Amino acid sequence: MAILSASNITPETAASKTRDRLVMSKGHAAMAYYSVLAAYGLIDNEALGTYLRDGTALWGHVTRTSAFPAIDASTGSLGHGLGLALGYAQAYRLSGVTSRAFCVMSDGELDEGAVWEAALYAGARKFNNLTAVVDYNKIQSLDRVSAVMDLEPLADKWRAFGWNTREVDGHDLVALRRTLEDSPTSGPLLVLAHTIKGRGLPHIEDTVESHYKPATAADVAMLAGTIDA
Amino acid sequence: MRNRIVDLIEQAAVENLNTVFITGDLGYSVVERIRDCLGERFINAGVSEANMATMAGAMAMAGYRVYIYSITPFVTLRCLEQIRNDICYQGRNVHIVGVGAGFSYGSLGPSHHALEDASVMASLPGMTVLCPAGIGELDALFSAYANVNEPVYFRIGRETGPKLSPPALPCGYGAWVVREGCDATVVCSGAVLGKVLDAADSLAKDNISLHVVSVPQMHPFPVELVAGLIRGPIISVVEAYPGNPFEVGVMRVALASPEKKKFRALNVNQDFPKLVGSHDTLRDAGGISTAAIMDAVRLCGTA
Repeated sequence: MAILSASNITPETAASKTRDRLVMSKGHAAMAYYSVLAAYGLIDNEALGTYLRDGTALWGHVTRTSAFPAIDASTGSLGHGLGLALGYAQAYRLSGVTSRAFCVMSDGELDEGAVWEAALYAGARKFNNLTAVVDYNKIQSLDRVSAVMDLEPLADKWRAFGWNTREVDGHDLVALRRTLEDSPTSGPLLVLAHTIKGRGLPHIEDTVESHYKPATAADVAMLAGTIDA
Repeated sequence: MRNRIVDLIEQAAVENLNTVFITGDLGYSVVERIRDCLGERFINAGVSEANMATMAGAMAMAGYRVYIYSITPFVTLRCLEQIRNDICYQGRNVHIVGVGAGFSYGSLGPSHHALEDASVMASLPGMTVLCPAGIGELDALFSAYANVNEPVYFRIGRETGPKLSPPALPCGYGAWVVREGCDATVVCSGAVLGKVLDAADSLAKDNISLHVVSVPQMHPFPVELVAGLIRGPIISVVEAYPGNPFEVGVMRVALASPEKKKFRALNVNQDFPKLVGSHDTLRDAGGISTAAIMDAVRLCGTA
């Protein structure tokens, strides 16, 4: 939501070839991503209700479709998104378009070597039109990130690759938006968005299980009560 | 052939400002001129083929025609999923140039050989696989596919290849008769055509008249076109492992022929060479020597 607020991606610009781009590299977050797109009028609510249904456009991992041109890339295999956003940034640099390319990655995704190929290239060539946000919830598929492949000191790693870095509370949308709007001119920007997986549901919060368990009706009611109208 | 394809890309890029050339930091003594000519549209992605393929896919989505270039295994197998997901599935308008078809890189070793690439690339949805035997075929194919905004893989040999003057080879019609004969047909793809022509010369001394068909369009294989070009028993010859799309295509031609033509396939033993060898040595050891081609013709019989 913060990226969409900070970008010029709107229902009016969705089909434009020169607007900002957003690559949702953690394609498994499709349900959340599609929901946010719907909230911004970039997917219609009727289509959102068809998610995962046979014969419809919205797959279980983020997929480009001519029906919804705001979706800039198909993802699902981790480690592709940063390179895709970089490709958009490269294309814009070549053609003199000043729009930005955004990418959202997971923390577990940073185990992929292709992420660091893109990070190295973007940093070395100073792509200041590229911004990546890491959803740093510290949990990956089977265990905590620190147990599987400790990423720390993570911000230092990105800085060593030539990136500007910022750290924010990923649940603070206002702070996140401000961070995204204040893009540096010296090179790409990496935002570590510290989050808590399953936040708002104390019985699964910050657990591996939160990655897998479908929300129950009671969970939905509990979450609804925590959201400001 | 690599010099020629880089020249062709340079010409295309001069005419079309949406054309970009990306190398994975390879092409010493070959890419310098296109670098100087294209300026910012020449990109050295570094030794990062996965990122190169992914970037190319996104640049294609943003409206560019992108050529990506490297030694064959690095620009095909190394970045296979990036080609699948980011080029074939979404970017589309990327042409891949792999230099070093088959055993072209000879004594540099198996890491640089490319015997499985044609099969792997042909398995990807929407991919065209082109394997020119020499500069003449390369010119014809490059011209035919210049405006095809779909994934194309150019499987290029290191050497110049036999001197050829093929007719136009339009999209979907990448096959032609190189030499007229009447006793048996060798159908081949790529620079191994040189060996096939050597075999034809030798067989002629034994009064065997070999008909030679070259099919640089490995995939999709032009079955109907080739079916109309053959005479007598069929021998397929290709510098690739068994089961490649070219060989399967020739087999389909044989199976579909009304008289169920005799068919033999010459390909490369599916193993890594144990000993150092030049391109020619490795071809011979791998099973596609001139003598092996002649033996296959004799074993298959004549019309």
